[in-house]
Amino acid sequence: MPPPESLSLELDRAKVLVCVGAGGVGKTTTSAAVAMEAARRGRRVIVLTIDPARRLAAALGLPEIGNQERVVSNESFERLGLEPPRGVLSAMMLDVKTSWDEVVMKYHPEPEAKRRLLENRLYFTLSTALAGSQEYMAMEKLYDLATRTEDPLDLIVLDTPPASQAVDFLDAPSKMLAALDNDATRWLLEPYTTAGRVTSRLFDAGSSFVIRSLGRLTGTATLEELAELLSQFQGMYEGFRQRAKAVRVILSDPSTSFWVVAAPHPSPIETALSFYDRLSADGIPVGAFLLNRAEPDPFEHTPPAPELLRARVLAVGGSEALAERWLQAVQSSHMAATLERERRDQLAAKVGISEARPVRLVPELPVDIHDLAGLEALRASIFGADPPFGEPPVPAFRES
Amino acid sequence: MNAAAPLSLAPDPDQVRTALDRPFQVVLGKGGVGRSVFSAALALRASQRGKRVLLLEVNAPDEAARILQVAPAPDDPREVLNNLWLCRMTPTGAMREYALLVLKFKAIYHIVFENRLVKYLLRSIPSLGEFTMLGKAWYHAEERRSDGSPRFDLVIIDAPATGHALTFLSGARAVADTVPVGPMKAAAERMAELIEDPRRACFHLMSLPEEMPVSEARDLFAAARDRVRMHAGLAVMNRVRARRFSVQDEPIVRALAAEAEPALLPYTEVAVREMKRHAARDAHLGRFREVTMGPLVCLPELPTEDVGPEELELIIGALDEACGVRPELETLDATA
Repeated sequence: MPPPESLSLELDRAKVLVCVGAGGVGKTTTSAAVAMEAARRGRRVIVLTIDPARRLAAALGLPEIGNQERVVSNESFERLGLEPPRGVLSAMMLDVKTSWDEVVMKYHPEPEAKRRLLENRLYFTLSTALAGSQEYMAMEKLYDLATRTEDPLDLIVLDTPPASQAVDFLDAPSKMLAALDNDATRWLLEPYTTAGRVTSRLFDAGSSFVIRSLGRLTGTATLEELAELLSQFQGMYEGFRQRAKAVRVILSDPSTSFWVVAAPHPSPIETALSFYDRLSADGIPVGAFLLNRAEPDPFEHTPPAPELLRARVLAVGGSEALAERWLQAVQSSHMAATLERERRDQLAAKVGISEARPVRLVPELPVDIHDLAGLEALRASIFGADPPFGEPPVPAFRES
Repeated sequence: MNAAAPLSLAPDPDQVRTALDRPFQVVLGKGGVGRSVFSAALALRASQRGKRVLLLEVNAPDEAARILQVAPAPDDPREVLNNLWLCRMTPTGAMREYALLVLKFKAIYHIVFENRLVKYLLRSIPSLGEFTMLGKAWYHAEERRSDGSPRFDLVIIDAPATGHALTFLSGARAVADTVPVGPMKAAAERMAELIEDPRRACFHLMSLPEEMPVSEARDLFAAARDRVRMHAGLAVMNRVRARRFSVQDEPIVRALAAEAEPALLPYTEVAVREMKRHAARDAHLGRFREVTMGPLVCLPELPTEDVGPEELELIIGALDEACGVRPELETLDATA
């Protein structure tokens, strides 16, 4: 197992850190704890989450997080007796609807079409329900943050939506773009003038058999509204494409690090491996594997002493039965920890463990993480007891 | 730590039975809380009791089949075990059925739906996929046999995770409210009627005894009740670990922990950790019950991740117990 420093080194060299993984393995809190470590090491860092605000807000001690950046104040740390970070830690939550509005407001070239688009009844459902919409907006936000010139960031930690398929996150934006913009739409919607009014092929006087049959399913009015919506997006596609491309460049840059968050159990490890395969196929190395909620091994530092326990239990008035249950509890904890270590080693062997690619078990914390103190405990647990204070600040990152 | 007595977890058996008698039940919860396993257990239990049950998989295709150890579900209901039908729902499959129903002729379907432009257009209509899937569920819930009796006594939907489930369930109301007059609107209104009918439909909300899952369950509960206007059935807490140390054990554990004998550290650490887990678990259970108000059913932690019929029986046992069927079984909190 590599020394803890390799994780910190991986963190120090990253400008963008993307946490990927299945749901329910603590990805959001891990993202926040990783951002916290970077802030402790003196960097200006933001954690961008996709999950409902309450989860991260609670852990960061913020009343709420929205689409705007919120800085975690030094007082929030001090109140809990924690040393404030030398850098700056802030958080932002992706609100898909608001982000869509912002993108439309910022980039739509035509004021009139922009206004009608924002008022379109279908726009709301489209912007929130279209598959890949969330991932696409995460990319737009990432682009915004990575390119901002005012108060620039040293590190962006991105918490991605839970995915069971290999990195849906990477594919979703292109899928969403394909849905909004393809040859078929352009042909259908290509406006032309007939009998003095601008219309589109879709509602051509002859209305093809196909369109009429489809209309029987959905109602023609629905199709008309949809066509209108798609036409109102005209003029934005080029910008969508350019920014998606720019984000692809950011994501494949060596200063971007992907961390796979999982748990030391068979199915999350399987998912982690599928992430690894997919990222490798794209030529993207995995920076670290974190296996959360590992069982601490009771016998890691001290050998078993069952007879002593039995004697002591009886001596303080406990029963044989209690001693028996107690021994069983400790034994099953030890067995679980052993099994998890084996799984970690198997994973490490499969992905070719190295200094640059740590595979780390993160012991389960005795408490739930619902404040900065809990987050601090998780941070310490992930990064070990690296002493960040008094060290010279690590160079923020390489010049790109 | 305060030595509060463990919660009394037993739900009112009448309430549990009432919820399990609804003919249209949807299993909701965030990703990873165990919806597929619980849905399969619900379906298996009802079928064993002689109900004709249809389990619809929206969430994880083939997951129920794997758990029940039967062949993967087709797009049409297939009886995979006695009285238990299984059916996989995909947006494309449901859309095809809906289209065939409306267009009447396969030939027309092919001309229209094999059309590249149409395929594209259908993909772009927001929530159309979810809507047609809900339509299929509704269709099967209303389906009659030739003698006029319902084809299925119970339809269970293993719904997608949180956000998608809400899109899925509110699809009917959304279409009814936003789509202009047409065939879709009419169908949507009838679907919404079923979902909102407290005598026919209910949702079971699942969670885990942890901080974040319970917080999310609270949001999901409010959304399902207020946005989808569906009625709550069971509140289901999954993976509730049996207590290893009872309240009576705690003073002894604490006495030994206080001695701080180095050779006993492995034991005192594990025991103190377990007791903290018990306390945290009880707090989450209490919070979950406050949130959901309805009858709370606790499911045991299963011995393996690889769930099969044997493990389903453990869940069925917990449901039986909640219904008051086997009161002689010791409760999860029984102290040894």
